[in-house]
Amino acid sequence: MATENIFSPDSLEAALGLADQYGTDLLVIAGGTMAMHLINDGFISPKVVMTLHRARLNAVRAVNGHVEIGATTTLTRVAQMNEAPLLAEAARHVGGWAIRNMATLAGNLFVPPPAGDAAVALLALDAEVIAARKGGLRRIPLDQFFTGLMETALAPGELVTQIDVPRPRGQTAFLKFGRRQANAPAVVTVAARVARDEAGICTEARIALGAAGDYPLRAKQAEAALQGRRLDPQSIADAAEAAMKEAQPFNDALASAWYRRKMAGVYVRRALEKIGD
Amino acid sequence: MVTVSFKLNGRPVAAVAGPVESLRDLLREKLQVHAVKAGCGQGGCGSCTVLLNGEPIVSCLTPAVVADGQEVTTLEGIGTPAKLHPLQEAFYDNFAAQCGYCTSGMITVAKALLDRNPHPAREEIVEALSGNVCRCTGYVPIIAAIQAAAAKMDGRG
Repeated sequence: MATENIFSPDSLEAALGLADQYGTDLLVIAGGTMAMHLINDGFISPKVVMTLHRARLNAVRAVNGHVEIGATTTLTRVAQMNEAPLLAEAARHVGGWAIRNMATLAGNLFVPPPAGDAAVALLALDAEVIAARKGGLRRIPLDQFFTGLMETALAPGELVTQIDVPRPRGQTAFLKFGRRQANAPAVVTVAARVARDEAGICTEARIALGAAGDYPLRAKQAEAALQGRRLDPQSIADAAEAAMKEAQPFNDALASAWYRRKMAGVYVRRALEKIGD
Repeated sequence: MVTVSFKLNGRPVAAVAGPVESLRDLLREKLQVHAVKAGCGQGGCGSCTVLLNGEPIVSCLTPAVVADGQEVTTLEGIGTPAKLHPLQEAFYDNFAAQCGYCTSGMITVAKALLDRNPHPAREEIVEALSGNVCRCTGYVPIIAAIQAAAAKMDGRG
């Protein structure tokens, strides 16, 4: 089936109108870095396509460390965000310069693993997705957004318009292990955030894994292993062990599932060591 | 079908594109701009890199309609056989092209880098080139060529 039409709406209202009208027949393209690859290789043949490059959804607003990022903000822009250092570091690990000029932050929520590094950082930051449809919007916590391989909680006719990143509590670390230093999908990606009280006891922990399942996931057993404890070699080893068990990795040309599971443990340990005492 | 009008290397052009036709295919097949190479089609190799309003993008993953009303620069707009750009001279002098398939993408990215940063450190060159894959020349002469071009252009400025 050949693609019948492509729309480039110049406002959110027009985009939501098209999303409502075409529902599941519509493929939304933000930066194109994933969708066009799938089209070029013949994996998908959408009936109707909508690009968001003219929809003016790329505004960024930072207030007291809370950052609201428009859906089509490019990863080049995200990589320069001093307001969100963990997310900026994750964005710098995606693709090369040209890809980051095209790829968008919301688009990164829709790419299959082992891509999707920015989404891993967003998960550790408790980001929320703003999903709009004709006549309303809702907020979806990111850890309820992913439902399966390239499947999300979005309903037909809904668009991601913005991602809200709360001011992070505690310290953060981001580590990506790829087969080369740049322009490489992940063997495993880890984003971690740990908040501690004055006595050094963990009051909140987030450990997010990429390339360790069908979508970026939180290693909740690993997070629980840190709760109420100091960040010391024993608690870190326990968290790394838990993350290894929770990972649901896959085989591909980059790495075997066995190796990815091992590396999930190693990189969770290293990320927590980086956060340190 | 959609009519796409844009400025190509400083000259207004128009072409009819299929709904999901890539900018790469439009440039190569309809506008005969063959310095834009067709490599992986997945954004992994950088051989189809062009500048959109001065920013490097991979044209294989860009729907042609995105170029409408914009400015596109390809290697043809950077230098000509009669008047080579200093980067092209430096690639020649430093043996930075063996098979040549990655060369136009490499020079296009290097042009965007030097436009922003006339004195890049070696690591900055490496970082800028990280989305462009070379499988035969090797990166060492390519990096040397860009360093030589930067030095040469500096002398002219």
